[in-house]
Amino acid sequence: MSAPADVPTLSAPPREPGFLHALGAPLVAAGRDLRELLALFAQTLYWCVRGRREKGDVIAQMYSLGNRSWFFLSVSMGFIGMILVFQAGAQAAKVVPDFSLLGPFYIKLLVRDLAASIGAMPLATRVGAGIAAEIGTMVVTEQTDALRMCSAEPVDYLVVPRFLASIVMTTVLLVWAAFVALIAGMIVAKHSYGVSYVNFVDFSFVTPGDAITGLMKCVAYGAAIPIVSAHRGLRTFGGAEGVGRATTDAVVHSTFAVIMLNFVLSTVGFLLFPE
Amino acid sequence: MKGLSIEARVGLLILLAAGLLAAFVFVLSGVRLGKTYELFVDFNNPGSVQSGAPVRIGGLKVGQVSEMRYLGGGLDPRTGRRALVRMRVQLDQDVQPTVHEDALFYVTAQGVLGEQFVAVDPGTAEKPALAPGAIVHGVDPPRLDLALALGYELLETLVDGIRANRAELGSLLDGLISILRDLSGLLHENRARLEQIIVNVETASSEAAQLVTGARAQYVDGAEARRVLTNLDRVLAVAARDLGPLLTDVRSVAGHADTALATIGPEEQRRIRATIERAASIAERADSTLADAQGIVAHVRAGEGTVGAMLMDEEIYDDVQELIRDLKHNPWKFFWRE
Repeated sequence: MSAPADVPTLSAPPREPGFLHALGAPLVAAGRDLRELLALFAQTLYWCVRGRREKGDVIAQMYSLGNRSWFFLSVSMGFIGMILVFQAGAQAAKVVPDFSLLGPFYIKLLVRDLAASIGAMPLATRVGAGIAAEIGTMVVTEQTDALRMCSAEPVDYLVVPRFLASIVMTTVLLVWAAFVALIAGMIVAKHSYGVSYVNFVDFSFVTPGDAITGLMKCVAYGAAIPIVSAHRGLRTFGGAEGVGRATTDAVVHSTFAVIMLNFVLSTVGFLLFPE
Repeated sequence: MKGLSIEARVGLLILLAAGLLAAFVFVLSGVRLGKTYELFVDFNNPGSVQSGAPVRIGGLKVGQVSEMRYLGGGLDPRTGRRALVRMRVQLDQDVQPTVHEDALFYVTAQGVLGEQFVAVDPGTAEKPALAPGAIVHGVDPPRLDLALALGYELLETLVDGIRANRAELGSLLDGLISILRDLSGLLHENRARLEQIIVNVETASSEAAQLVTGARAQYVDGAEARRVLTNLDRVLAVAARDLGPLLTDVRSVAGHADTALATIGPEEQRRIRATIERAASIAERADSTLADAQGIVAHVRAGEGTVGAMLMDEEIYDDVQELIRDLKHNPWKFFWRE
């Protein structure tokens, strides 16, 4: 199967294996992947403006990406919140046996970084795998070719609804995840360290810059996960095995994208809102 | 939930998240629902308190810092004071009657390393409540950074001084050690005497205590002292009673004397002076006569002269007594001589 002209082309297999080839190939591949990702992102933005979507496409994707991830993310963030507070309290007890600041610091970190970045990881695994598997299957079964034959652009038809749905629902889910992690941490702080709920839920350390940084990350992760996953799905080849590989790659790359974006956005956040 | 459409379910989730986000923004913005009033607090060093920091009374949050303004140490004509930073605080209207004019506004921290906030000691109930918009002077927090800097400078100076005077300090320490060693030897050698001195001091102290107790019992709390005090009280009472009339009499007498003196003319004064001079002359003569008499008496005491011999010589006394007794028994001897 040949790759369509308007989707990223597949990287060619190495011709002459050797030391230099082995050294340079991953970097070249990474550079090509990055270029393809940026191209796909640009196409997606283009089709967001110019494309025509069927009614209910985005809502269906929002339900699939958001509502169906709600329980999974709630449980994950509940446990993560409990672990974080317990470990933070245990370490704090070694330095200063004063837990009055456990809540304020935890909430600040949660708002600025942890809720978005940690919550995006399980979301990337579930959403990314789903998108890559769906699109990858359509690619290997030549449904994307059929779309082109029907004058339907695969990016507009397959990627844009997921992209829009992911931006909204990732933000929604990560706000919810922050709330769940806060409640879970509050309960652990109360029962493990005797910190009252009133003392724990103290937003005095949280600044508007923290909230803006956190929301910025939510939107960025919501945009990155479907783009990375769709990219892996669109370049699937090799039948069912290829779909499996694309799914795995989508999970790995989406998670990696979240981490890299976290690094970049945290730096931007500290530059814009230095505190 | 099963009856809801996909759109409704998505909408529900979005609504939930939007509600959480709105609640978070509401909390973060620090909007207070109740009625509030403003106060201004001047500081020369408000520490690291920032806008939005809580204001607490007795640990309870009753407001927040809404603005920090740099005044630059300029003289405020309204207060007549200079301040570097003016803090605008919004307090709940409920606490307004309880924050009095002598209230203290100071910056403190939550926990050991926690966020700084403004604490309010509401003052005494006797003072009137602070009016909204009042400007008060806050208590600056301790400058730990300044203390550390000064301490560092002091230590540096100390170290430099030690380095520069190492030889002298070594000599001084050697001398000190020598003195201490000698003192230790001295104490060791005279241990028994010192113990005896201590025992003596203890004994003296004990006896002094007993003495004081006895003296107190005798001269302060005793019957004698009470009687003296009673007598003194009586004397004072009599004096208080009689002193007034006495003084009146004295004044009267003095007045009369003044009157009498006023009637004495130059002639009378001359006569009085002459009388005094004569009295002085008589006194001189009396002194001389007295001296003569003293000489005669001394003469008599010495047994000199007839009278002295008669008075002081036992033998003459016995002879006279014998003569009288003989004359009593033989009165004819007055008329007849054998």
